[in-house]
Amino acid sequence: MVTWWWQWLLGYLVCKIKKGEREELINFLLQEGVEIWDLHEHPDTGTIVFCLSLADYRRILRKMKPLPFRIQILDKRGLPFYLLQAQKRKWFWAGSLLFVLLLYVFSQMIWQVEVIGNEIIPEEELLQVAGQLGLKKGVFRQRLPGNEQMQSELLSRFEQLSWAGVEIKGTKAVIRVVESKHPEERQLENPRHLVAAKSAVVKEIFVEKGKAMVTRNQRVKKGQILISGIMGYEAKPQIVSAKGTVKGLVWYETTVTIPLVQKQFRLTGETEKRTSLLIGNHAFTFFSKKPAFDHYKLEEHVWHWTLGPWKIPVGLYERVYYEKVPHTKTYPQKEALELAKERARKEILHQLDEKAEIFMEKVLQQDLDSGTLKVKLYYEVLEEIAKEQPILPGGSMSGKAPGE
Amino acid sequence: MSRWSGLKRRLGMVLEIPQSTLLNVPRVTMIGAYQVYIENHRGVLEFTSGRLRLRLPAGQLQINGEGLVIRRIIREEIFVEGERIGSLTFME
Repeated sequence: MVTWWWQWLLGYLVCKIKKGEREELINFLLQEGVEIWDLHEHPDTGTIVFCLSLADYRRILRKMKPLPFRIQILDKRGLPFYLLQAQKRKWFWAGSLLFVLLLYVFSQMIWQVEVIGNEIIPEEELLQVAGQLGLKKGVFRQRLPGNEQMQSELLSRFEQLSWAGVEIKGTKAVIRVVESKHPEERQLENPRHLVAAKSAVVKEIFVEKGKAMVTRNQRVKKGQILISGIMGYEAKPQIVSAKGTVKGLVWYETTVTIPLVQKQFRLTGETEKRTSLLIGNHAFTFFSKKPAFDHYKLEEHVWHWTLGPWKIPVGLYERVYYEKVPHTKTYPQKEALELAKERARKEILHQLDEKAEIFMEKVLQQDLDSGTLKVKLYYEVLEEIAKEQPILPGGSMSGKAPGE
Repeated sequence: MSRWSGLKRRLGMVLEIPQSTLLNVPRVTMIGAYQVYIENHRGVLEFTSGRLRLRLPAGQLQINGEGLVIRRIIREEIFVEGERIGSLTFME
């Protein structure tokens, strides 16, 4: 028995007629132009079961009243009946319709505004300006100002931008900006000399602006002018802001003390784990107590469960205890010496900038005294020694720094 | 009827009109032993799952079979399906 979905859409009835009247009824229906389908004989009784469309039924109902046949309705199927049912659950359907409407309405609004590409200009400023123009959370997409308008406004308000654009992807608006790359800001051009910050032996000199006053392998004293800001002749001097790089060898002496016997902790390899549930900021532990190590190193891991972009405040807090035992380590002198050297190196480089290199390292003296090693070290470090010194107006016009 | 039917038949052949239209006889299309499509009948005389009798413009058509089901019936067309259609008999 196959009935079309089309018939379901319009509604149809399943009916029964009894033996005796059957054939006449069928012929009557045929005369009226009613279409009947799926006629079959009911196996037990002599009745015939068939289907006819709702529209037709309504049409011939009146005509059938005077006639002796009776159509018995077995079942009502189809959309029209479903709608009747739906009326009983009005609010369910009204609610679902409302949902669909709201969904549509909300999808026509902007819910997120994002700024990409800004490094110097703070986001809040850009967002604020955009908001003034009309682009912010909760506005309808239709009412937004056009792309060109936003672009020109943003560019005119922020001079650092070379390009700005707004792209709307669904309910998200992306403001893309490209900041103009200026050549590096030139510092104020004060007239100045470059002088030696420390006494050193000049190894490298590179003049960008100014006149070099020293040469390679020349010994210079602290405060000596390396690159002069005064150029030109005596008759026609020209004052500039000296610029360049001067690298020299500076020598340092330092003393490091290392005890030979040190108390340390050594990991045994035994570990124990404790896991607890983390809700908000509170940890709930079940069945655990501190492990039975006297000393331990603790490693903690915290995981928050995430649902997509949101972090929910439920997570796991895991602690791993690594057992430590106290352990005395005796360093032979050679090792201790190495340790000392390393420590000294670190210290020196820490004080200077990254570009410094250790040129020479020499152990001047080693003293082993009651379990501690005292090492005196001498370093020669290649580093930047130039320092600015402004030329004060009314100061001397000679090539020497005032006071030297 | 017979005098005219011979003439009609010939006219139909000449003008290439299908005979069923001209001659007012039923057109029976049968597919296998389980589907019969009959056009141009004049009503149902008897219908059980074993036998269907149709009235024709001239006479009757009896279909015997098992599990007969009238799939569709409208005005002068009828579409019958059955588990097995045994015989079609034209009767007076």
